[in-house]
Amino acid sequence: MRMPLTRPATSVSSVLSEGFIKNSDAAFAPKPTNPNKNLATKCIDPTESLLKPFVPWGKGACTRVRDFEEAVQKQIPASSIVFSVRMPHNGFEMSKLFQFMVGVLTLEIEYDENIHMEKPTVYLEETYSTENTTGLINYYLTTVRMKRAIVRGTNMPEPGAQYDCEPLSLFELSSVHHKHYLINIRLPVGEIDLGNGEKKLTNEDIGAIKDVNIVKSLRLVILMSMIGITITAITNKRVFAKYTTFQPFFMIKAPYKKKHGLSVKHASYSRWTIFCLAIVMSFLNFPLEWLTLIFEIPAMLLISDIRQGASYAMLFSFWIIFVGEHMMDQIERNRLGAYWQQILAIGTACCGLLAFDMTERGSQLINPFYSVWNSEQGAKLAMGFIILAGVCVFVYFFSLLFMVFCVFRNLRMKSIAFNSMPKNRKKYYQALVYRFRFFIIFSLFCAVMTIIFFIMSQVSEIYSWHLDDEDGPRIHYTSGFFTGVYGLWNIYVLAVLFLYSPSHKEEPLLSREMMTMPTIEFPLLSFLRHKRSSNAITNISYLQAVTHPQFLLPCEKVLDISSPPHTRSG
Amino acid sequence: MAKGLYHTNLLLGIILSLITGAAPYSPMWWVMGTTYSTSYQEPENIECTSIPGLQNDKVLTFCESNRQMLPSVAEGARIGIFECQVQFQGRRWNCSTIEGDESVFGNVLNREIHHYFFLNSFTGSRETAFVNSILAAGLVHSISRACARGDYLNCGCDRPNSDINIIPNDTWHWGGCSEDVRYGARFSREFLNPQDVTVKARGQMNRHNNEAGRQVVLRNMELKCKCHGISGSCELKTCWWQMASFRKLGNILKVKYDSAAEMTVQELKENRAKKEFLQPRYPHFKNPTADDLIYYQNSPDYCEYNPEVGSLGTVGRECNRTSHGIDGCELLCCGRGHNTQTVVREERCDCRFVWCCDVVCRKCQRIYDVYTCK
Repeated sequence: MRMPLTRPATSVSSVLSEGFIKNSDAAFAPKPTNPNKNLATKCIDPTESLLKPFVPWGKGACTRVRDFEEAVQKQIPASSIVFSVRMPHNGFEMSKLFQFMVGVLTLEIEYDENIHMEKPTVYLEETYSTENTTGLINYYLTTVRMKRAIVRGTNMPEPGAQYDCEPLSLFELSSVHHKHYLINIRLPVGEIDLGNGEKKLTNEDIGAIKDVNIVKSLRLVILMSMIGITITAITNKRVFAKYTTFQPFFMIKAPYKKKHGLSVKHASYSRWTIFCLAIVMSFLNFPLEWLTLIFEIPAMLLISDIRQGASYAMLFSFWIIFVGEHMMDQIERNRLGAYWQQILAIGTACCGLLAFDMTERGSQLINPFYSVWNSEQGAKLAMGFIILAGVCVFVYFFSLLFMVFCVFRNLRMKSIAFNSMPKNRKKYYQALVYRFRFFIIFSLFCAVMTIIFFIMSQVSEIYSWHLDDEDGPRIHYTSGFFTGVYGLWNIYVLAVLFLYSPSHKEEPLLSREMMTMPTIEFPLLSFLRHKRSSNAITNISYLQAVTHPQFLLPCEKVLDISSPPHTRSG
Repeated sequence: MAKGLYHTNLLLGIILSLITGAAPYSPMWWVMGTTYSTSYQEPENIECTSIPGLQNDKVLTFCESNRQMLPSVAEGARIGIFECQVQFQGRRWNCSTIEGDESVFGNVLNREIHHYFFLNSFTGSRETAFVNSILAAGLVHSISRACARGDYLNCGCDRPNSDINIIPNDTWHWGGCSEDVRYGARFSREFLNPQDVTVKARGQMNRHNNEAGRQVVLRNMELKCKCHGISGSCELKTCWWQMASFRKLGNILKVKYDSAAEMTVQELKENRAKKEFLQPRYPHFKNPTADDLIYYQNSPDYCEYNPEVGSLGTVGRECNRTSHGIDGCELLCCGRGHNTQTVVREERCDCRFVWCCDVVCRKCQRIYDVYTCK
């Protein structure tokens, strides 16, 4: 007779080979982000209104000043200076292969004894326009007025030295569809109408700004969708695609069990969960980002976030249901209600994060310069959502750990009774114990690897930045880790699919046997349960010590293992 | 034609100096820093042949092929000279420029022209080393910044070679795009090295110190990082290199000036040609590295006016009576004593600064005691 676990041997090897391919690809994957520094050109806008785009160079370049000393000489007021950045650099064009663009603003502020900066905030007016090959298309966004706090670094009491200013987030574009991007920034000085009749003096205390830099950071589409690795190894894609696309089909067998009239009712929940997990993971792996190569989809980042959130939620639900079904206690677990606390926690966390994401990314669809973090109330609200999600996740993991603990206790106790079992039943339970242990160890391994990867990527981000190694292959560890973790969890789900999908070969054997041999495998325990229920505890059983209430306080009713799932219903 | 004319001018100058017996000031490219205005110059307006100091064909060819960069070259010279003056403020030699002098700093930086009357001219001093290095660094700085601004076509994106071929896309070469210091350094190297091709000790010293200035820019790049995960977490982090501010680089070079390595000139006969090379004077000290400054001649004390060594003297210089440092009257005036004068100066006070271009101030009158060297 074949053990229920012989089948995974082949699947594990294929999973591992996929894992190897993934990680070798990951090492040669591109950098996760490509920073690109642009120094702003100072254009002159005599109207002080930013009503038209100011191009720093090329056709129709603006009139410009080299530095502020020249502006002083020419008596150009500060308000009419427009900082203009055209991206990418001269002679280049933006590629659609980039998925999104994040802009960071750094100000070069010189120390001056005469200037006292107290809580300096800079007030910006920003516009952006895009350009295609045909020429400048004034795809023009409304002028955005924004206030950003400059976090000042160390104060250097030396005239002429520069402050160490914190870079500011400037914009976030979810779609890089055009050839050129033009950003114009104005720092208006003087009274500004804030809209509701309130007037305020702006930009009076920001110090001697010498220059404005915009660093844009681009992330490749292909990195996000993981299929990008196929650029270096096209064949691997086929392997990968095969698995991910067919994941759900492995699982479609699960509902068939009912047709066979077998009693899979008890375990069907985890099977459906695995099925759903497979669908969600396939959805996550589907290279939806490739659509941005053809269409301009500004909502792509939002969609990716939602996809990712859905896969997390599904994975969390799967864990709780899987562990719950190995509890084998008296509680009827074949309904969602049994897990309501954990599901509620997951749901709340997801909803909180979704609400946050919708406000942040959703607003950026209309206004790429918007960020919740810029306004005080917005930051509080965002923090509230994140803390709520954090608390929920904490509660969830706590209860999950508790459940795992209970299952291990339970299994240990069962293993004592194994010897007195019929052979098949013993094998069935041994397999159950084995596969649960394997699952826990595998999950733990993945979790630990993720944490290690995360730490290493944070560390290597700094150390992988060398200016000197101009030549020779450069391995970008960060994206390696990034794809590595992604691949790891894909493998994890795949392995779960292979290992825990219902088998149509072994189980009928067991069930048939159960049907023909309706003996109770745990006579002693059954007896004991009887006794316990009638409050007449005898001391004849060696199991008594184990079953003593003081050992069982945290997880009650664990002991009721006398009726394994299949015999009860079958 | 113009080139030829220039060479004849140079020749005439040398002959003239030989006759008169005065050491000629060799014209230097960095005169651009004082003669050209800071505003955007159309590149057509600057002729390579009109730049003093570009002596040989190699550098003139390089200049011609990079005519559009010349405003940035002038800017580099300007920030270099300015930084030199800031760093040497209040010292006996204060990096002062000489009006109408094509070598800008007088004889301090005179390129060694061998003639029989002035074998002992001070041309390889620490000050020479500092000025060379800061000007080379200024060139790297200004070119790199102009590139980051997107002013020029042939630079802008600092990209490592290996990243280029990953995506078969002609228009976008991807890869990290920090400030293009490599281009700036290459430009500085190709522009300055041909100007010092001699086998003389001074040429070697200049080449080394120019490179030291460039190395200081390259090795003091600052890594800036910004986290922008969706929740402000560091899920997504962008890092980029940026050049240190020029003041910071000036400070570093000043430290290097103070700890510059003294060399001795060794002569070597090679195929009957005399070749000079520099060796550390004190073998028990650590050898100078690529970013250390070297010199081989002692500086004059810069007390008296002596144009032969580039010393303007300290007569009439303002000094600080209370200081015991080099800017104090004792040391600055070389023990000659000082005059005291009471002056009323109008000053700006209670300034309210509005960024960029407006400083709103009141005018106040203050009475000062001004001390000047005798």
